[in-house]
Order: sequence, then structure tokens, then C-alpha cells
Amino acid sequence: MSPETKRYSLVGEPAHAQARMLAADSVDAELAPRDAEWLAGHLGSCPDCAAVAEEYRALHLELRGLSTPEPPRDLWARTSAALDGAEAPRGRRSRGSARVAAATRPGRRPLISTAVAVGIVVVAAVASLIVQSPIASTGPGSARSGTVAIGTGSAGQPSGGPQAPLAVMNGTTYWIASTDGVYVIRGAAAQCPPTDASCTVATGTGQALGSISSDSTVSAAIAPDASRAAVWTSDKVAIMPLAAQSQTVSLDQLTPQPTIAATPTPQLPTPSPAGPTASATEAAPASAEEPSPSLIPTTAPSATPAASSAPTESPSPTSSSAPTESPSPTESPAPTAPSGPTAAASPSPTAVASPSASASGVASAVAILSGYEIVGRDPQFSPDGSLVAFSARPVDHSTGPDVFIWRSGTEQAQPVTSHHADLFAGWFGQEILISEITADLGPATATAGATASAAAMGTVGASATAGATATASAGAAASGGPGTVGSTSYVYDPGTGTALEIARPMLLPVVDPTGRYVVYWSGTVEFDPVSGLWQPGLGNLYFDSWSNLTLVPASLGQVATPTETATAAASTTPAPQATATVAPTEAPSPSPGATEEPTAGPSPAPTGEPGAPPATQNPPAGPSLPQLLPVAVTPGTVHDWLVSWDATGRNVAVWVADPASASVGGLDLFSIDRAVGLVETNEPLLAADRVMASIAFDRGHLVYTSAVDGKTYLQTIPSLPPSSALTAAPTFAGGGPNFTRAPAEPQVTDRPGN
Amino acid sequence: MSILATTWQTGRGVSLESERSSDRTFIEELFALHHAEIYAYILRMVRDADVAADFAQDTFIKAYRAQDSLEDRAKARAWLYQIAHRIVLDEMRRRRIIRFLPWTGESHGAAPSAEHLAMEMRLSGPLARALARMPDRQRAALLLAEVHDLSGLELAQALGISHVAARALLTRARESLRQALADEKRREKDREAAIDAAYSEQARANDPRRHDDRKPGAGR
Repeated sequence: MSPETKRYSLVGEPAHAQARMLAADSVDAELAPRDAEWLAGHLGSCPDCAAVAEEYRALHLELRGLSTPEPPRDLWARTSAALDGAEAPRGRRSRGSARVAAATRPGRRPLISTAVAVGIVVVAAVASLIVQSPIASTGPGSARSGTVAIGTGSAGQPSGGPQAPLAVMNGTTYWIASTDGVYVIRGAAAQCPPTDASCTVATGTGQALGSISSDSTVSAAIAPDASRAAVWTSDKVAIMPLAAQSQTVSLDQLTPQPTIAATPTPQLPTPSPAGPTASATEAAPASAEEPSPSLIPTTAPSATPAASSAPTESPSPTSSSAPTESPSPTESPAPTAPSGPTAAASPSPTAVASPSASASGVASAVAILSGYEIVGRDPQFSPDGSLVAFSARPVDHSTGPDVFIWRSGTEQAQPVTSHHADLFAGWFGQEILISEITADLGPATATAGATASAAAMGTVGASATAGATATASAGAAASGGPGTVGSTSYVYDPGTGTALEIARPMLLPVVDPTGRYVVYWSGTVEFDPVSGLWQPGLGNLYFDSWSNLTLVPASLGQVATPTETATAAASTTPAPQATATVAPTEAPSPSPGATEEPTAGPSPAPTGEPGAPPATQNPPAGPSLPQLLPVAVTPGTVHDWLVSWDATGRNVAVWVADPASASVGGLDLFSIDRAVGLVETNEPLLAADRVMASIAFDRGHLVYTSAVDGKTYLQTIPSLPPSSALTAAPTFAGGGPNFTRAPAEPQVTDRPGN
Repeated sequence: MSILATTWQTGRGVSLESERSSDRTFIEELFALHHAEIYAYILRMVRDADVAADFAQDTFIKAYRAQDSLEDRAKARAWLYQIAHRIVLDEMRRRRIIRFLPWTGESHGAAPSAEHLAMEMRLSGPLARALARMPDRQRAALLLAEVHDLSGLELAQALGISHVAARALLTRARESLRQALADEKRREKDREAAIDAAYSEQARANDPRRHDDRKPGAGR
């Protein structure tokens, strides 16, 4: 612990650094006499170092004086109950009681579970891919008989728990292994003996493709061609190439270009230092009047530094991007200012002018955003790998999240929204889906914290009136004003900076790659008084016809930064986008239960109010659109979920978190009966418990990881849907904009990390 | 057996006399002795009471399943912290809880979550926010050493790194916290100054004499 004595000859900055290190060490440990003597001498002659040493001591005392928070009273009761269930790995398997109940529902096929195989031994920290057949399988246990079980997690360190791979693409498994602050991205192809139903990545194999060191936990998403990865920590996002011989990148030392902050929304109420009461009445109407997202066209400069921008990391956030200083919407940025967003004035995403714009990849790791933390879905590459989209918020939580996009060849991620309440939902072709929370909190808006939280329970979507009544009235009783919180989703084209609003309120929609169907969440949004954050409350997942939804061009002029460049960007909005609105009345209903209501969506609420959310209280006798997906333990309890479509759009996997967990949940695999345009809810291809929050499709398999045994399974998907395989999918007159803009070739847009 | 029916001692250099007790009893005893501090550590890391309770539960479940890996029960405390630490970091890496802050027209610089936690644990607002801004591993090292009083060896075990690496990490953590706290205090001072200025401006606007002052010839 004691530093080497060579420092005694140090002078200048090294001596100061050494002194501060010793001062830090001396806080809770006794220095060697010689060290202590040298330190005392240095501090006596260096007031700055002495002040730092005093700060260390003060922090030490303050931290040691902290009180211990009381654990919840029911912690033992719930732990004891969980221990009862946790005895399964020692001899028998135990499922959550709720899932058992779900499995025994009438009309539901017995689960094809991820039952752990008895007697399998975890031997190494590598991946195990176990191929399962669909329904006909007798279960993975039998299929794995004799298989060497391997976990991607910290095998040998059972406390680490199972870990899902980053991705399984084209038969290659990618995972991240960490040791002492170094995170290594590895990839290896599975070996699948023809005589065995298991595919295994042998012990010790796996090519190191990227290495990152950081004091923060590192996460990663792999590009579709595995040529690079998006990596992120709690406060930084970077892009790094993946190569066989890559050096370790110190992520903490990567300094991005001047950090781009989410541009404050000019039309939103100006923060009022006078106190919450001053802004209370202003914020609500402003939000209500601006349902469209604060989408920043790619031409709009990002201007203002966020409060969270660390000064040391953002030397001059405003130096080159002040909106009023933007000389021309088409002017290329100076080479020294790659952040110049005006370069993206061209509708073509590839036309982003940048000194390195022509580069197809990144030669070395580059930090594309700093001072922000990822919120919601993980960053995700576009299907062609040229873009990365994600939502993030400042680390100091000075604002909510915005959606950012990084383009290949550039060195910074650019915000595309500025309302600070936007979430990246996923890619749909080369476009992205964005969900925005539109708060209409009434007088409670400005009272952050408990007061606002008590009042602010509303339903997602302005149309959720019926469902909102109960919750909103409760809030009204507490606060004196009803509060509704809406979520509006958009299809955003990074190439043109244009957006289409999805008329039906929904949160985090996931569209199938063929553009026919969508799964989204609808329910209430609640304010969590403990964390001080908004999060999904009571809600469910719904299946719907994507092509039957109405898309309305969003007014970029209303939401964009009112600058010259923004105006220019608005003018570049392709006209066809404005006329591309789906006309539901022209489209035949894909479902017997579908409605012809022109704008409210397929299914009017029982109350008759247009745009009402799917009826959860009084479901129709037969399935209709929107179709409630039976994935929740109890109705309305879907608070965290993942949705992944296969490339054909015929199958959809839905993972829903267990009520008491954020990373483990139940997984259902459904097929779509295209004859009626509905999900086969009574015949799930898979219903598994205790699955990690990472699902994806790869080459005809559903890939998921069991939290019970830590192994990754490949569930074989039928090549044809179980019924109506030869029935042509319904076609829709006019198709709608999303049909024409869907990828020509179905692509898997959802991968692990979705 | 009651979870309080422990027959062994705790604290630094834990001496356990119940090695022959059943696995379940052993975990129950560990729970009785350490659940409060484990919960507190997790809460300080994740800053969410519900999640902290979940993870505390998970910690003991994993400990129950993996107790065969505990070679020396005298090191059970650090071992528990190691399990909790891995759960926390693992979750932070792949947290998928969808949470967001709406823009309400005012800064959330003092996030309610941080303030709530600050009140509960007597943290000053700036200190809570400064801790929140630290890299995960640095924050973990600092909390374990300073707040949870782990020794150097225990810290290394809990973090799963060498003793030297743990000390180095702790040193970096102290410096990070010092800088982050200075930054937070500077921001808080700026905010207070802005509020004072706003109130002063409002007071001037509400002061009828102010209008008189603005009359032509009033000297303004």
C-alpha cells in the first residue's frame, strides 16, 4: 500500500499528484513513517494540496457519519419465501406460482419450459447454445442429456449469476466478459454436432474482439456485421471497432468532441428560478398544446450545453453550434468542428459532411457522447449498421431523456429530440420509433417530487380517458387537479429529419420487419416518489395491425429549433411524407374485430371515446384488434418488457419481467395467424419462465437465456406458421407509408440488447 | 429456527460456530446479521428502494445457492458483499427498467430521487448527487470502505480484485468524489444565486414604489 520511495525526489506536478494520492491513502490507513513525513512536509509547503487533503478528511468523516437506511419490514418474509422456491436447483425445479397458474389456464398448452437439466455441471465461462425443437420437443432437459453445460456468466463465481450473450448473429455468439475492470467482447461460432441437439462453444474458445477498461460497468451492442460495437457506461457512449487484435481502450479517458447537449426546447416554459408555483400554470398548457415531439431535424444545430456537461469534458459546447450562428443550413462544418450538425442538411443520411464521413467504420474507439446515461432500451445499430440510436439523459438528471443518433463516420451523437421526455423504441428499417411522454399534469406539474408524484398518475395516451378515470381521480383527490400523462409515438426518418406521429397512443411500439404488425404497451404512467422518475404503471401489451394505424406528419416547424437552419430543414421535408398518412377507412380490416373508425384506431373504447386505449376492463368476447397479449401474470402488470419479431414477421417473442425482478421474467413465443391477422394466443410456441432480459432471433431460432441454469437456448421456429400457412397475408389498399418504406428484404431489427 | 437464533459472532474477523448447521439455517443466520447493511449498500448503489429490496433478496438467494463456494465462513460478510456487488453491477449494465423524467419546465438538478435518498440517509443534496455521478466501481469501493467499513482485504474480496487494485480504485474514488462534490456545490451556489436574483426581481416588480421610480424624471 505504501508508495515507492522514489517519489521523494519528485518535484512539480508529479509531486502534487503523489501527495494527493498519499493524502487519500492516509484517510483510512496509516502511512509508512517515511511516507507520512514526506507528505507532512509537502502539505506544509503546498496550500493547495493541503486543502485537498483536508477535503479528503472531511469527506471521510461525512461518509462515515451516514446513517443506515431501514430495510423494508417484509424483506425477510419475501426472502424466506424465495428461499423456499430456491431449493429447486438442488433437486427439483420450481416455477413461480404465478407462471404455473398461467400455464394451467384453460386452453393453454402446457409450458415448454427451460427446465434445468439435473446433473449438469457448469464448467467454464463460455457460451452454450442448446437447440430446442418447438412443440414436439419433450423439453430441453431431455435434449441436453449428456451436454456439457456452460454459462456465459461468471462461471466459477456463482454469485455472478447468469449472463445473456450480447448477441447471436449468423451462428456466432458474442458475449462480454469482465475481469478487474477490463471488459472483453468475445465472439465464437458454436459447434453443433449432427448427432446431438446441442451446440456448444467449447471451453476457452472465443476470440477477443474488443477490450475496454473502465471504472464503470460497460455494456455493449454489436453491429449487424460485427465490425464494431456501441459501448456505454453510466456516463459515456462510445463506438469501437471490433477486431481480432484490438488493444484495450480506456473508456474513462476517451474524451469526446464537445459534448452535445439536448437542445433546450424553446417553446417550453423557461425554467423559473422563482419557484415551482410560478411555472405551475405555465407548464401544463404548454405540454398540452404540444403533443408533437421536439424532433430536431438533423439540420438543426445542437446548441446549449446541458447542465450536466462536465466542464472538463465539454470545453466549448456552444462554440460551434449556437443556433443563431449557424451560417447556412447547407454549409459543411469546419474540420475542427465535426459536431456541426448543419452538415446533415441534406435529406440523405449519407450526406452528412464530416471529415471522416466517408469512412465506413471507425478506426479507433471514439466517445460519441459524454455526461449522459442511457435510458430505456439499449443503444441499437440500424439494420445496415450505419447508424446507432439510443435515448439518454444527463447524468445529473437535470433533464429527462432525449433520443440521439450517431452516424457512421462522425464523431458525435446528435440529439434528434429536445423535449427531454423521449425514448428510443427501436428501428424499423432505416427509421426509428420514438415514444415521447407528454405530461399534462395541471397544477402539479411544477411541483417536482412527492406532490407531483401523488397527482401524476395518468394513462398513456390522451385517449385513455376511461382507463385514466380511476387513477386520475385518485390523483385529483390528493392534489386538487387531475393529472394525465400521455405517450405519443413517432416514426422518425434520420435521413430527412421528418417524423410521422402514430395517431394511437402507445409506448415503445415494435413493428415487425415486414411492416404488417406492431406490438406496443398501453396503460398508466406513474411517478415513482422514491426514485423521482416516471415509469410504466399498470398496463398491458397489445398486438395490432401496423398498417391500419394512422400516421400523421408531425410538424417539425413547431418543434424544431426556430433557427434559420431549422426552417430550412422543415422545408426540405419531402412532400410525400406529408401525404403518406394511412387512411384507415381505405384499408380493409385485417381482423374481424377491427374497427373502421378512421382516426381512433382499430378498436374504439367501450366508452365510445375516440382513440381510447384497448379495453382492459371489458374485453370483447372474441379476439379483435388491438389484441391483448396474455403475457402478464395478472392483467395490467406489464411494467417491463421486450418484444422481438422474427425476420418474416410471422412470429413474435415477448418477454415480460417478473413482478419482483427487473432482469428475469417470462418469455412467450407467438405465431401470427395471417388468415385473421391475430396472434395465436392459445398456441404459444414457447412459454418459459425465468428467462433473462435478452431475446432475439437468429437463423430460424429464438435465442434466449435461462436465468435458472445460465444457458442460452435456441428455440427452433417452425418454418411455416401452424395454421393458414398458405393463406396470403391481407393486403391493404394504399398500403400506407410504412409499407412502402419497409425494407425490401425482411431484416431482423431486434437483437439482444433491444 | 428463528433467524435470530444465531450462535456465532459477527463483525470483523467473523467467527462462525455454526458450520455444521444446515444450509438454510446458515443463510438465515447470515440474513439476520447482515441484511440491513447489505440492503443499505445496494440502496446506496441503485438509489431505488424497491430495486434495492429486490436485490437484497436476490443476494441471499444466490448466497443460498452458492454457499458451497464459500470456503471460509469467517469471510461470509465480504462474500455477501461480493454477491451483492455483482448483482448491482450486473443490473446496472443491463438495467431495462424504463424510466424517464418528463420535462416540466424546471431543472431537475436536484432530482427527487437523490433528495429522497439524501433525507433518508442524511446525505447532503450535493453529496448524494456527487456520489450518483461517480463511476459504479469507484462508488462501490468508496461506500464499502468508508460507509460499510470493509477492511482492505474484505474490500478486495467484495470487489473481486486484488488488494493493490482495490486500494488504487479507492484512491481514484476519493478524488472523483472530491471533484464531483466541488462541482455540485458550485452548481448549487449558482442555483441559489439565480433564485435570489429572481426573487429580488419579483420583489422589485411587485413594489409599487418601483413604478413611481420609473416615472419620468424619477432619476432612473
